[in-house]
Amino acid sequence: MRVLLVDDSTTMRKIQRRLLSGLGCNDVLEAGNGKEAMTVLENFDFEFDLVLCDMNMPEMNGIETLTAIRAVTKKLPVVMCTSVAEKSAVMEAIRNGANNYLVKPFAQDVFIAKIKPFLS
Amino acid sequence: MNYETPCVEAVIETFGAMCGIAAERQGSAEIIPTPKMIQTDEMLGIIGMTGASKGDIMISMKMEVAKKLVGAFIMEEISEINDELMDGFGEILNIIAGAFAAKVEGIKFQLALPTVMVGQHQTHVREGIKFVSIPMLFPGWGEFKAMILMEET
Repeated sequence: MRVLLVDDSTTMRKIQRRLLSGLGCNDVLEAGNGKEAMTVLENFDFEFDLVLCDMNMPEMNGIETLTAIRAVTKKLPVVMCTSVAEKSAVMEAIRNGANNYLVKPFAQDVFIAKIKPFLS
Repeated sequence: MNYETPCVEAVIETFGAMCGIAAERQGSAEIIPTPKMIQTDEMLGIIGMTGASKGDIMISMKMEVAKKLVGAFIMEEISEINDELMDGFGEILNIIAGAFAAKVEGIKFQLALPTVMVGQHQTHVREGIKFVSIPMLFPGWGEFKAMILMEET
């Protein structure tokens, strides 16, 4: 299982990486914004099992990143990670092809419940 | 507009869910007349919000408390001031602001990126800003302040 974490916060990526490790997923790559994410995805020919993507990022935000991914592939699962203030934007993201969303603040069991289905 | 209750709820929920830490209110909120020069603690985070109203949320606490808080967030001990401390504090603030914005009824906020500063700060709050300072506490760790600064309409 290969997962790409896209978040401008290194701390949040670290937390998510640890939670993924607890689910047995250790093939985890990281990107600090959408532009970096697209470079990583292209380098791996979009061969990922999941992209977990923050909404509020500099350079290229979550919606722009999702749009760029969906322009290439409809199959790659993308879960948007957001603070509740952006929830309406997340619903827009779902309409535009996001597979699910994770709202911050989240407890560990919520993270696991949202992410585990994509890793099984 | 009541900003105090959403702020307190957002702070308590975020620290509880993301850090596993119980925070509590320590007293009544103080509405501070502006313009005002304020002294904050060693660790200060600010995040801007824009929308029908514009303003900032600030969280200020002593460095040792901030290290414990971010350490609980990332589940690792933080012993020095480093990028992880700064980034983690900013991310916590980002989550608080998001939760706050969702709780304020009737206003849709856009969040800016958080700014985190270390050191003894003096911050000038200009006239025309409603400045609410809420004393809060991590029992066993120490005090901190949650502050809301909103443009008066």
